[in-house]
Amino acid sequence: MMSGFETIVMYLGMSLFVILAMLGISAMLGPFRPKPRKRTTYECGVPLIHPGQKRYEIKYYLVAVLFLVFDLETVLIYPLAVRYRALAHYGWGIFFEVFIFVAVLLAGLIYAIKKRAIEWD
Amino acid sequence: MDFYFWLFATMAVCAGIFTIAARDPLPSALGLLTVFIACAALYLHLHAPLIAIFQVTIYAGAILVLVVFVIMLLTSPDERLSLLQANMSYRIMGVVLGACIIGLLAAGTKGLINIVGSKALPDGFGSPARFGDLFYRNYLLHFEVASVLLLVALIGGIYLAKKNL
Amino acid sequence: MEGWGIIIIKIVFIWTWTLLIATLMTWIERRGAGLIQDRLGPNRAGPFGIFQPLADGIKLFTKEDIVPEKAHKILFALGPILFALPAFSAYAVVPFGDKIVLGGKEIILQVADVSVGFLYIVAIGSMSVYGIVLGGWGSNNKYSILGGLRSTAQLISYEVPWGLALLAAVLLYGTFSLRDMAFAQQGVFLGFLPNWGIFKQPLGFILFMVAAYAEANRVPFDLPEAESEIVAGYHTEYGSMRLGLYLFGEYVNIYTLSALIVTLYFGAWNLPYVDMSKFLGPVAYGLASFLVFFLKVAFFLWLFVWVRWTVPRFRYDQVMGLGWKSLIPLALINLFITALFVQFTA
Repeated sequence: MMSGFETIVMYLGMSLFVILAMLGISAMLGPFRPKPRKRTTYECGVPLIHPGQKRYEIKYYLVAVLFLVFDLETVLIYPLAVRYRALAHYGWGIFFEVFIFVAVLLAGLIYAIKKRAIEWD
Repeated sequence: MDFYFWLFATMAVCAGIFTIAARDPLPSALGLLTVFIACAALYLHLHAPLIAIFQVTIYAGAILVLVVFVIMLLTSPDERLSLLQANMSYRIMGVVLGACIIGLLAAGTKGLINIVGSKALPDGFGSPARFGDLFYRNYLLHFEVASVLLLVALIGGIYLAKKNL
Repeated sequence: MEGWGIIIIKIVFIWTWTLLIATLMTWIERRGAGLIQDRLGPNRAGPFGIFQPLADGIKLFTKEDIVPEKAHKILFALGPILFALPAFSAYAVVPFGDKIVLGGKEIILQVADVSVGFLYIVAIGSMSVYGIVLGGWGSNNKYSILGGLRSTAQLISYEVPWGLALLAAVLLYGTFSLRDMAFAQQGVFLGFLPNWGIFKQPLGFILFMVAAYAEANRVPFDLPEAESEIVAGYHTEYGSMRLGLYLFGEYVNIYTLSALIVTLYFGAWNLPYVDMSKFLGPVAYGLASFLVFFLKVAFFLWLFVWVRWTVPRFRYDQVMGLGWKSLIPLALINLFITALFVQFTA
């Protein structure tokens, strides 16, 4: 494994251990007296009208698509960003490379805003 | 042999089988999440930390969120699998296509065993800085074209999801 | 490379420390509410109610673990774990001081200084949505699912300006190591200002700050918990320690985000105009750097509380509008300005 990452794995293991310990202790200390009333779905005290798992709106999908595009954009620029200062010595090439990339996606963002894709109405 | 490789490869394969065998779509998505993370661990092991991080950020962090949202948009508990169960031809088609993919993969990996050797890695192999240099020197056009591809994806997504443009 | 013993001590130390701070934060939050709203706040358990978090902990541990009948058992159980695991693990690459020399050995006050440490934060931050969305869906309650969906949409929307603000910081410092970023902030800038990130990235700092509040689901972005609309959002059905993990994870997130703000924009452990390592012994310097770092973090922790009891909650369309129409264009402009700045100073 890469150096340093085994430490992170240990840290993750520690987190998982503590989380499971917390849940385990809670399960051991807490009482267990299930009653049908207790286990009904919360609905402000009135009978449940219809189940929660139904079809939800498409706008969440749209937000996820937009997020995917811009997340990819950010992640793709990271390797260039870390070398930016070194590559900037060779002139303006690197600046225009990043600029064109960002400008194309900025056009996409403006398109999305103009088409009211992010309106929550 | 290699302990890490076998650990994460087994994890990826088991989670992959769970992904396609699970009846409920959301646990299936969780299986896919495990596959992505196991793959990321394998990339780390191959001295490609940046690819591992990309794998987690993009596949596990963005694409799977989209998948989960789509599952929530489509799933209604009583409609699950009804289409697939009703029609036998879907199953036959699935088997044929699956066999084709496995055949293609087998053809693709033939001869790969010879490449895996104990060559010394070049300096800074797989590091973000090396990626940056490659993006700037060798793959500048590819990098820019990627932005156009993303733009097309964005417009396509809006076109699909928006009722009246 | 340090020995395994030291690494384990560091992991256990920072873990205990994080838990302690998160526990204390639950008390400070309510005492702060009392202070700001001109009332007492918790004052029964111990002096100034200092043992209130302990009492809360005992309560959460000894509550009955109720699983709703209609809930999806696996997803319901996995929700809090998937939420708490990234929240608890993000601190692994964030420093908590410079270094300390004990018995001739140099110990770096950071758990793991990996080459892509910075990206680890981005990756682990993008993992936290699953706990919310799957926990909400697993509860099979319409408030939970709506809360989960809303929260996820908000989290991913603000991840973009957050990532872009971080990108500008990477552009400025030219490294992915948070420790190297802290070193880059020594000395003075323009002759009289401390060489801190805030003076080179004022816009980036504001963007990061706003996005951090949204990422931590804090007021004014606590839409998932808008009790007047959706009861308690994604954790409506949760009780006992499962709920505890959600609430606790939030405070750990706040601590990590505050530490990130300090590391990126407020000079980490560096004091302005004074180089502590010049006139302090190696052990004293290590402790001092830890203390300075923590005092700065404490300020931002307090700021989270302060904002919570001062600002009203946004409406949902305002949250999404702010994220996509203001923060992301501003973040792209910030990236552009930073690129020009680096270009001219390179």
